Amino acid sequence: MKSRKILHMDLDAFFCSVEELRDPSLKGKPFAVGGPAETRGVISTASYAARKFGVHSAMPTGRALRLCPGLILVSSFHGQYEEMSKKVMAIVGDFTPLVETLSIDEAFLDISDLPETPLQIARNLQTRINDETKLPCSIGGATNMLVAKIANDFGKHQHKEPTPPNAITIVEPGMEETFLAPLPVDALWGVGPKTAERLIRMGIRTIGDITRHTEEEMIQHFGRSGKELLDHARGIDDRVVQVEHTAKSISQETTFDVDINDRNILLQTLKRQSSQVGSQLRRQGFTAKTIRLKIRWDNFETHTRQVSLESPTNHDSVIMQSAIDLFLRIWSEGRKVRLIGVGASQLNQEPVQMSLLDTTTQKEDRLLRSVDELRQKFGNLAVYRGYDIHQKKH
Amino acid sequence: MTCKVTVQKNTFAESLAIVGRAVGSHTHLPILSNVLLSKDEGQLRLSATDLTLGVTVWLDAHMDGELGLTLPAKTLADVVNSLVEPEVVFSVNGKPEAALKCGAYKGVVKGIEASEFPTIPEFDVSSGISLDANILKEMILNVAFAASVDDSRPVLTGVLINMEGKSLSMVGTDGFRLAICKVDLPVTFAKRQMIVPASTLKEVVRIIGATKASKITLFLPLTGSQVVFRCENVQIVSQLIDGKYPDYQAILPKGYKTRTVIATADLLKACKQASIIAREGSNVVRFHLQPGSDQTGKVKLLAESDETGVSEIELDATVEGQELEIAFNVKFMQDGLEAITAKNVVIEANAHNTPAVIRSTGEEENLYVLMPMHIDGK
Repeated sequence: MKSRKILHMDLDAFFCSVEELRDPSLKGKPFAVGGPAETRGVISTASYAARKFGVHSAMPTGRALRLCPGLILVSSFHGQYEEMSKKVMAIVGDFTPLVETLSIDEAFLDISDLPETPLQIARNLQTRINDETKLPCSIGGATNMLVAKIANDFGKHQHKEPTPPNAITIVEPGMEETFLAPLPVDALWGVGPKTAERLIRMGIRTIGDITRHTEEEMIQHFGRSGKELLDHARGIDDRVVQVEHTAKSISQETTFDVDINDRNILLQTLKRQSSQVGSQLRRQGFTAKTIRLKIRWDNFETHTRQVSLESPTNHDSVIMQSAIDLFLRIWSEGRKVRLIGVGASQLNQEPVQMSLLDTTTQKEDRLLRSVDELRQKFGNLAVYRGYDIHQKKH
Repeated sequence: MTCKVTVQKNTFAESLAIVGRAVGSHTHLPILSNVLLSKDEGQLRLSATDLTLGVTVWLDAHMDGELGLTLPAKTLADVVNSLVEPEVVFSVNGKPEAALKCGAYKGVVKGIEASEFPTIPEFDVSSGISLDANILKEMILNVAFAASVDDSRPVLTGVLINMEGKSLSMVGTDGFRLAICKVDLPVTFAKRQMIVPASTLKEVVRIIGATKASKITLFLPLTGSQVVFRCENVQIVSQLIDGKYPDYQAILPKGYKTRTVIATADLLKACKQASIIAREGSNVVRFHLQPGSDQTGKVKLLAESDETGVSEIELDATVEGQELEIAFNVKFMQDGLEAITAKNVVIEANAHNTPAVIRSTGEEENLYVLMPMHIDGK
């Protein structure tokens, strides 16, 4: 089989880079995007200068301020991040349609069918992103997604200056296992602190150490995922870049600044997304027959689950209930979520037979219509659901 | 147990057709595909049930012994229908099968033991209420079509029957439209309310048609969970639907802002024309009601479909009150109009998103309430 060519593109300290564009005086200074310490906020991204002090994402802001007393805190400004992200993804899309967008600042590209070498393509891509958006980005390349991603992380870490790495790291075909061998085990996907601890107890510290165990031994210790661990350690990963079909659908996704396992936060996010989807449906005069939940775990594994409704809807409450049902079926308490999203598909613009009896549906209809009108006149924050109040205070 | 049965072919075939309607299509209970043949006070009794509905027919036959077996309803009916001689003879000889003879035809139909057949309760209906079969039939035809065919809300698959004093009323609704029919009869009812499966009532209509009976007896067993209809030599026993019927009184519109009087036949014809285009979409037809007295008003029907095209029909009418554009599922409108026998129909509406009332002129009690369709961007 002809070996594949996969690139992993990641914008360097994306939120910070965008903030620097907005306020060039931040350049080179230790600053971070995140919530204030008073509200027990966390750092979502730290500038490279701040990273020198040990500040990193997911760190409580209070602790970050103790480590780096001069840290400038910038509150996140999402509208602009999304806009910049779109520009970057449009450039990525110019190279190949085979793109799997992992989050606002990260994507895989399958460039197997392009004649140039991965290094040439990576350079072209980086140059275009740097020139057209003024954002730094790092790229990893390999024969599969796993190694491309690890290569990129590795390349970024090699950069020791307090500036964005803007790195390119390519692992040549056949060199996967050799490249991975010296790296610590937790560089592998799916190796969290617990697994890492168990591996260490087995005397396994590097990825190379894993490959010295047989498949049987690994399965004995880790069950089915033992085989996967061994495959990954050998640099084997058969997953394909999953292009999202842009079939007629309306969806909302959130990539968390920090992986989230808090039930309330996850449910609130779903609720907010559901009302956004509902409102978009209504604005475009659609009803949807299918509601979809998308979820990405902290190990980047992504799942979608969907449910077909008895009758098409554009009601927040129906979308919400379906999304929450789907979510509770796939999520187990404590599991960390990186991305979550709600989508509506099988859209139609057909007129809907109103019901004589189901007055709750019609009441909601009228309520939503009024809410939509208010939002149109006075903006999205004019009216919001009770569950949003807590969040809005921040 | 041996028995030789001699029966008129036509009577037998007709009776099998009547009980055949109750034969279940339960593949997990093969016995329900069968009809029970037994001897009852010198008559041949045929029974079939789908567990909700049980139909029994008694017919004259000559029998020289006791009889009790079940035979597959469809096979038996098909065989009997294929026979040409006026008399059919079948004999049973202990086994659950019948040897049929009719002219040149000789055959055996295999069945199942009678003991496996579910018991269909029998009632003495002499204390029941005798009703005019045609009135009952008309009432059923006026409301049963509006009942739901979707099992998700079981009460809506039934027709609410209300008896009080001299009045008998029926209500059917699927949640989108509602039909009410009320009559005063020369009988006195004990106050009673029940939900009868619409499918049972439709069966009653067919049986009234098949037996050409002029009277039908309604009997309510003390168990409270069943209703019995006896029509000549046919008895129908049906389970009632348990549950709370929606408070339909609360949704009946009070008053109107636009009142249209139009020839029933013209409007029905226009609906049928509009539905040709509308059926490709979701059957939506916009009714534009333009005021004008003494037939100077207009009712415009507009159907549009991206795929099939457009149809526009303009009718003369008397329209009082406000101008209104309201969209209906044209099939629902047609159903309502088809149940109206009067020359003119009245449509009373308030707004594009509230229910409209459709009824014959002069009829205050018999209503068809229809909820409009919502068209976005309006």
